[in-house]
Amino acid sequence: MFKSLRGYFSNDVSIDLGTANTLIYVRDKGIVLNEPSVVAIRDEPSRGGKTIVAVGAEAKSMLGRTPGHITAVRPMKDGVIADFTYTEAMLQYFIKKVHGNRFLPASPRVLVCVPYGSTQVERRAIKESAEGAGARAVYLIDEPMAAAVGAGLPVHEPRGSMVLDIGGGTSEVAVISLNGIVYAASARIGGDRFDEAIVNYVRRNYGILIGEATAERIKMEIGSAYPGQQVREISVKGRNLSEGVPRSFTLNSNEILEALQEPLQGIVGAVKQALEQTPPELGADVADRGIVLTGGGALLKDIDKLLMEETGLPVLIAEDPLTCVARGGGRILELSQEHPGSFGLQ
Amino acid sequence: MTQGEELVETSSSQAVSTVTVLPVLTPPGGRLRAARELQGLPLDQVVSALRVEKKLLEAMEANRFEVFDAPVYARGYLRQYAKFLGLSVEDMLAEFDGLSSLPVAPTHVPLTSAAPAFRDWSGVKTAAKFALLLLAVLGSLFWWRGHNVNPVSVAVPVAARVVASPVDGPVPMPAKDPVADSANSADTPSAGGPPAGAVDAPSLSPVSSGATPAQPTANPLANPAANAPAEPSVESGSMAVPSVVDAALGAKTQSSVAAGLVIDVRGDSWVGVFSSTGERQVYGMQHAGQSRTISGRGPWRVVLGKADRVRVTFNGQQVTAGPEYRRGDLVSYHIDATGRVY
Repeated sequence: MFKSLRGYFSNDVSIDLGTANTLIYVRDKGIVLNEPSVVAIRDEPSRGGKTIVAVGAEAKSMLGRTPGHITAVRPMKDGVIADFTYTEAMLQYFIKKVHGNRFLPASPRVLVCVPYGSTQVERRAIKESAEGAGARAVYLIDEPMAAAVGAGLPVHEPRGSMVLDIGGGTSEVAVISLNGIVYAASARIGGDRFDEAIVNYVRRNYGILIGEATAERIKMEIGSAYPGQQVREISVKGRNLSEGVPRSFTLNSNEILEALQEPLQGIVGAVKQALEQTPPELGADVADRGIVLTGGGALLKDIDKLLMEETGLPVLIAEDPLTCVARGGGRILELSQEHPGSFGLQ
Repeated sequence: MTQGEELVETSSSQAVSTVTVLPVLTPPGGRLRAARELQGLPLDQVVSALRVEKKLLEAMEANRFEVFDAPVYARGYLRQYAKFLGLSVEDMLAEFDGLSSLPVAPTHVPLTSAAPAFRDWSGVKTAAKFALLLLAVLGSLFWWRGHNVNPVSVAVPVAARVVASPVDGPVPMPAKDPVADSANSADTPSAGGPPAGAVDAPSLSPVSSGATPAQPTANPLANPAANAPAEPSVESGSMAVPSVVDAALGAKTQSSVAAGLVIDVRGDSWVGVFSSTGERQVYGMQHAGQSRTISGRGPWRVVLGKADRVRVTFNGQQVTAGPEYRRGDLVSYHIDATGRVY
């Protein structure tokens, strides 16, 4: 109620509703929120059922460490909503946090970046979730387009630009020209699959079970996509499956490289597929300019080198790749006000 | 001393020694070239390692970064080249930012901007919304004030409620302004005649006598007889009563209405009016043009043979019976002292 009135007291925001992290960009302020997409729920039937205990970084610290009546869940999976209720609650919390405590609850215009491969049902769920969180108007934009604009690619030119956004749940590759997507593909491979691959590798080769948080730490510290001259090591702890007791062991970067081969080949395959499907003129432009990497996956060591070797094209990593999508969304929101219809917001 | 530090020192010393000969060695391009030459790397080897066109590498070494389409490419290739040569990426980017000939950042203005300029109405819309909001608030304030003023100052409705009307004898009149009273006394009949009724509100009306002084603002509904032609016969008790001026309101002219039950016959019809005791007040065939007035408070029972030809008024207000009291042309109902039909 009174959303339009409350809108005068709200800032328009761009949300990168990611599987791993949610980022919010506010006009003239930049990235104001970067928190994990995790919600902790307490289930106590005697006290009115399920209640939300924590959201974001606080909830992430509870992942895998909760007692029976508390569950830490990630409401987003593969780039789309897995749990509508908790996504809405999480968005509500983030929007409120961005606007602070005010007399009138915030009701901003919200642009949400969605994976290119998401279905209409998934898009509608995201839209309704944002509306339920208090947004007075919700626009959706494809993540590759937002990533390209956020990375600073000249997408408005009649020349091809290729962007590869490796997120937590999906990897999106797109060829963009004249503010439109010429070709795009979305593979449901991302940072989560890397973590999963590491967990499986350790269980298979060491007979030790490690948690997702440990796997993520291994990936960030010694993970690599291409063999390097230097071999790095890390000492981690997990539960020995045969003995049932915690054990410490050491992993090196070559082992992690081996563990990550499967998801990495999936991403390389998607890029090669995109290059095959790109019209020749635009393909030539891409060969001249190179492929720009964005998203948290771009921070994996030597992933640019891997793609360079596999495709034979120059590969660049955008500056601050983690925030490209959110920043691009914010820029698109501004441009759409100045030039309505330029990006075809839904 | 590390290898990186040695490299930086060597390259800077070389740049100083050849600064007059090779101006291209100014950073960051000069440092790139110096580092590459120091490592003995031919440009073709860098091309094959970075998959970058040779002309772009040469442009970078000559600080001609404007050949790139956008800063993202210039900075991206510079970062890669520096990383490949083992130079500090941050230092190189800082030197790059200090250059004057930088590629222009994309504005993302769509090609359709050549179309007629979009006029931004958002400011006007915002102002209009605030103006409407302000009007609504002011309107609410006025409305609130209008409903909270002293009730004495509010005009009393014309159709006032009848509270008492004794059949016989004088009725105490409400207090009147002496001036107004004396002004009206010339037109007022003798006090011996019983008035048709007294009202608690200053709306006191005579019966259709045709002579109704001091009724300049008479409501047609409240005083239908005033608009009707002069009636020939008047029952006892019906008389002209002047309008009463309310002393509290000060010269507030009120309308006059017919008192008691008045039956105007427009066409031949059988009419019966019975008192509460069953006494016949009117009974028999009445002819067109006749008018009968029954004073008193009622209740009465009224029976009309041809209801459409007879008009019944009580204290100046027309009595209308609903269809539930009608059987064909005949209408039969009761009317009480407040004019309620039942």
